[in-house]
Amino acid sequence: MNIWLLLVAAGAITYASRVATTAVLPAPEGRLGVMIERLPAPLFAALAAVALTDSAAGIDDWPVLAAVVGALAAVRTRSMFLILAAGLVSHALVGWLVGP
Amino acid sequence: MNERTQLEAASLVPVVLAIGVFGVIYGAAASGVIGPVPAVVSSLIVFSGAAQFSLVGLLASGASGLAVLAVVAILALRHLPLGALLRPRLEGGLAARMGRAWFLVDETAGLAIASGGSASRTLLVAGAFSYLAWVAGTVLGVMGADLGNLESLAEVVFPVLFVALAALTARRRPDVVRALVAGAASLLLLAVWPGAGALGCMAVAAAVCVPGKPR
Repeated sequence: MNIWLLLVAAGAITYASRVATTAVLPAPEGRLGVMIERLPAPLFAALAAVALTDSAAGIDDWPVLAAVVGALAAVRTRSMFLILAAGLVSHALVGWLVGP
Repeated sequence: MNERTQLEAASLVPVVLAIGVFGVIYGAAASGVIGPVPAVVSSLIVFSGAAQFSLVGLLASGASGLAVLAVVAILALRHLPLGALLRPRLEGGLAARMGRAWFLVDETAGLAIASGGSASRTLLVAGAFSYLAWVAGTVLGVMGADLGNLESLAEVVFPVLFVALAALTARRRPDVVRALVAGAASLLLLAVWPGAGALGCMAVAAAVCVPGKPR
């Protein structure tokens, strides 16, 4: 398959998936609607697990684990900025302590 | 812009930078497989790290175009629950939602859903910056930019971001319990089946949220 055709098709498929439930399909109702309403926190927790295991360092890397623990420690602030900052500072601190 | 809005806008910076870093990695990897111009065009018209890295990896291993598109279609399924979550939060008519849908990626959808303000505006702003960072990163990668240690720093942004998004969207105790169960079950799933990926973990999250049968 021609590379340009492949890229256009990949772009069309990806955009169709984005636009389907955002704009085109009817809003979910009934039990599906309840499920969608409950979904955000579990969905992002699941994606956190994916991102954690996807990182090249892996789940047993101390600085990465420290970043997650630092972020969890800042959860009570309910501020995206402070949670991110706590995670990144913890990562830098533990990275500096355990060395390269 | 009040102090809270300024802080939330500042939290975009590490996310956008991390997306840019992965754009550089993608540009460097893709230019050797599909060529520099198609690498940049792919970022312009697909704007999906998962789909683009898979496309390049599969082409490098000799997969057919149809096999590549099948994998792209499977990976694109992750947008369906994110779009359904965003839909009731987006303002405007069909055309406005269709325009904003272009910027739907895991990170921007999460920021829009968790934002205390307008989800439409957050999706648009976070999406536009992420898109620019992704394309600019790809261009830099194609040109052979050297990242140094930035890659490992960028990698840690995503788990921290999703922990933050899970925390900010867990507004009641049952949300917290479901998030903890979904996170733990996803880690377990990935330990026994690493290929399950984001789609498998999203299925786990959906299973946790299925309501009981009405009595």
